[in-house]
Amino acid sequence: MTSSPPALPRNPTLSGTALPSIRRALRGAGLRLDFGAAALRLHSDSAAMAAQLQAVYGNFDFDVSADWADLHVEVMRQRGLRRWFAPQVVFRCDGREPFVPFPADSPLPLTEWGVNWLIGQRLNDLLLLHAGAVERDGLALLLPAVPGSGKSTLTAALSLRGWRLLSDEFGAYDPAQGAFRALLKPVALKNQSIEVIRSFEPGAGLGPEFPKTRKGTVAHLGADARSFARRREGALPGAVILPKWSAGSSTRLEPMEPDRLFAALAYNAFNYTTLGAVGFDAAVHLTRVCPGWTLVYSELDDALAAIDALWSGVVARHAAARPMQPEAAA
Amino acid sequence: MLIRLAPGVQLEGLGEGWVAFSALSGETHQLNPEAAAVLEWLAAGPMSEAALCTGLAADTGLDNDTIRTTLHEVWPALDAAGLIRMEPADNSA
Repeated sequence: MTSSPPALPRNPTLSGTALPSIRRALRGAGLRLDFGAAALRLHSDSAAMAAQLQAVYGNFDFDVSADWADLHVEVMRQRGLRRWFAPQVVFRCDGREPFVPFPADSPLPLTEWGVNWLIGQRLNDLLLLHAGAVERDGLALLLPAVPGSGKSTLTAALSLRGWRLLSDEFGAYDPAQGAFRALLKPVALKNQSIEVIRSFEPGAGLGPEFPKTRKGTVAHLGADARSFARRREGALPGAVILPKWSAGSSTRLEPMEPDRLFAALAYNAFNYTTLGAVGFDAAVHLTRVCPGWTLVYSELDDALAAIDALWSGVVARHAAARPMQPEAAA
Repeated sequence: MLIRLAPGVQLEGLGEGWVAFSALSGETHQLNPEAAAVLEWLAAGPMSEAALCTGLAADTGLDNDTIRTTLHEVWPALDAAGLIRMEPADNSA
């Protein structure tokens, strides 16, 4: 008689862990957050950090293991006299403090901003496109765009309607694997986008709002449990949509010429120049395999319906392009 | 005078457009059709302006003088972008 191997024990989630335990981890050996393509070890003595992390990383493991971490960050209370009248937190990595401090009650936005910057500096085995990225049917949909275009709002809405979240900020293409990888940072919603998503999905688990940041009011939508569980799974390049939110407009999807698509990918990447020929080859490959569209929209539901309508064609196109798999021998 | 592609230049056609990457500068350039046609010919090997004019004239059906005028408009941009090199014919071996 045989028995199936026992399931590997899983760490409790951050949402299932008491705040004092999270605080102890942050002040001690550090809390490890596994985004998929990279992991962070975070230390902090900020009183507010544990609850804010729990609110947006609730589906992540409570991981205090010594496993490999690519990024090492401290977000610490600022010392000195100032702490008595305007307390602040400071972001440190590699013994440096690259940013001005944030108010002590806002460690999460500082951490998110700093870690995104660090990812853009470090992960040069990947072409890091500045884009939202979601997955369905094994294919990645990229949403590259300039700030204010509605990229994060659309990424959040898609992730709330069954698409697997890969990233809000990074279309992380791995040239060695020919696939996009997850960098599961929370979706950063700004200003009116926060209310748009609350109305779109009242049950959306948004974290606390942080007013008066340099980008206005910011709130974060954390990755869902399914996206976290599949964070190591890649997604083949599927399609690219350049969104542009325009008040009162009807939804319009228009195909993009390949040379415009190339420019939208390469010139929006964080590390295209750093990667040299590798970045060029990757951008050329993505342009050749991914159809591209521009999307102008004002209503989220209409935009999602338009994307759903074209997606079956995207899936069929990629299925036709793949070589036939040999049948298994009888 | 021979004209050749600079070392490490990659040329790729994307739909109706063309892009070139220079490994020397690390820069990417989007090309107009004239510049792309020149680089395509030079990808086969270094050649003189006269040989290039003859080849392009055969490709396009345009006369040599028109082609030569176009080339003289294209050279400065391709040279400044580091995509081509011009060298004396006796150094071409």
